[in-house]
Amino acid sequence: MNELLVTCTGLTKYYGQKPALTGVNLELGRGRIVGLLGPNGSGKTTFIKILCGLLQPTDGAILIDGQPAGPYTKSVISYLPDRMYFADWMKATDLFDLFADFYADFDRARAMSMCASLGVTPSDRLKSMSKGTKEKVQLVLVMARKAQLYLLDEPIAGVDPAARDFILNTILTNYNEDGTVLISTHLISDIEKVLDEAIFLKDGQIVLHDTADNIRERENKSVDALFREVFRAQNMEGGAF
Amino acid sequence: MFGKLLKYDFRSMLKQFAFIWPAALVLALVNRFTVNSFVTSASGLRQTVSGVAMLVYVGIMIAMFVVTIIFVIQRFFRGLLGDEGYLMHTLPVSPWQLIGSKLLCAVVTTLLSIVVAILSILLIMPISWINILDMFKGFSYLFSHWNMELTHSVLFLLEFLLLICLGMANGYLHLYLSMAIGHLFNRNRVAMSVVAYIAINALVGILIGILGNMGLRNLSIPYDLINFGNAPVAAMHLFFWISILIALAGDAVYFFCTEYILRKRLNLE
Amino acid sequence: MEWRFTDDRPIWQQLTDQLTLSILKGEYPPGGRLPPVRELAAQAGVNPNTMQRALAQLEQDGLAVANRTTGRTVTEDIQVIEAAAKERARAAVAACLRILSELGYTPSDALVFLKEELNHE
Repeated sequence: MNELLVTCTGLTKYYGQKPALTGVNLELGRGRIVGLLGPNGSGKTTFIKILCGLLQPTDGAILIDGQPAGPYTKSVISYLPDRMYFADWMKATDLFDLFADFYADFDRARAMSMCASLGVTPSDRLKSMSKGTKEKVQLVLVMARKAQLYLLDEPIAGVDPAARDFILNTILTNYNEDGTVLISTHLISDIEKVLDEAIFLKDGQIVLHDTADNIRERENKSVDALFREVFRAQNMEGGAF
Repeated sequence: MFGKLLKYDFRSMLKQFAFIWPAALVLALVNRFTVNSFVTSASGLRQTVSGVAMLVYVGIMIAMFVVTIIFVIQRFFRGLLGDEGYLMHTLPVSPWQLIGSKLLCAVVTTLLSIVVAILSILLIMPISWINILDMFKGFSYLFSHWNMELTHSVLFLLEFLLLICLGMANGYLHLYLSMAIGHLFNRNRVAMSVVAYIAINALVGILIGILGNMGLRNLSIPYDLINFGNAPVAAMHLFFWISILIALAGDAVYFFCTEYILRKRLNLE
Repeated sequence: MEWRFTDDRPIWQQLTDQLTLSILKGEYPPGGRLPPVRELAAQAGVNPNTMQRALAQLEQDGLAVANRTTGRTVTEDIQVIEAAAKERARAAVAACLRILSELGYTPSDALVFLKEELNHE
């Protein structure tokens, strides 16, 4: 096992002429909960997709557990996208079967108990579930794996405040402690307490990467307050929200 | 891993065809009894009923093949290039396994549809076991007449089947590559897939034309072999295997191009 | 237990404070088991590493003891707890006096306020 879980050097991604990420250098250790923080359009989803192997970088390199993106890295990464990604006619238990088939680190018993505590009936068809319940099922699938890297893309974005605590609690109680969780979000105040480290991503570049403790001690304010400061100028220039 | 992918692809195939295949066979059986009335012009009602039965049967036959094509296209387009792609492309498998599994399932599905079609025809025709026995006697007479050993006829059959499968694969891979090329564009992906399909068609046509012009001079090779040592059987085998190699080459080109696009240029929205 | 956090201080420090208070109040009795790190962290809704750091500070302050087999327990040394409680009380009084002097009141005024408040109870 490599000491560093993720190493990025000069990572760059262009969509045609438009740059989404430019020269990103990053190192992530193990056993950390890291926040990838930035407004919409800052490149968070692009970065996560490259980690997953869903996108190829235009330039630069990325290594997960010492390997470039491929079947091995996919087997140790558990990814929660910001959309629904399965066929409606399946039941939740069918999805558990699928995950158990393809991922050796999938813990079916844990998945069932998570369903119980989240109030999800796994034998229901996904078609009959509300949007919130389907999102819970996806969360269960992702967190029931003993992965090395969890990539959660906006896990609390479309969710009401009460459910957010529940989701964060689910993440905290189920993730693999030897693994690292990367949460991408623009709702910082909700997740600040669970972060070890925070990365500020602005226009495809990392403008800050520090521990949450350091930020609070140095700036005497919360990470959320610092975020608003750093990105306030962008809003006034008419940048994206 | 490849086997597991196949398992899920076949499962969704069964889900799709669990109704239509048995329905086709049942309707064939129904027609077996009604078709007589159609031919012998009994009462008007009987004729109408049998006419309707025949129509429905033909309808189901056509539907079966249309559904097969749509199934193959959708499984690829939605499964690998749509939202479901987020699941498929993050599984710990390589893109060639994803494509291969879909392709194998497509070919098997088509073969099964063909089998159902043949069975249904046999069901309709009032063939009794005596007739089938006679047919076998006829075949074996033909073979002995042509001085062919049983092993060779079996081999020819297998080579023929292989060629059919590779030909089918070729058709489906053509569709897959068109969809993959369409995926390269940011907008109007469906339209661009159609354009790609037509463009590939044209390119392949031109290629065959060029090869054909060259090959016409070289077609004497099999004839030479036929004369060489008086081996028409060997010549047939050679013909089959040359065709198989050509089909395989075409399949390989389509496959590698599709795999390259999925591996290097994937851009799910 | 209600966990409350402010924005300006590191979370681990605030956790240490609140855990200390719980111990001093007797919510975690002397010699009693403290819940495991992960459980406490999930309760408080914080990162386990953060909670770990808070608990380490608790050990350093002498209020908690780490046992290899039984996990973390509250110290059995009553004197340490009483000393910590006294220090807290003193700090609260000092803060109160500071505010009163900032408002312009003298120490004798402070005593008057104190007696009035106690009579109200």
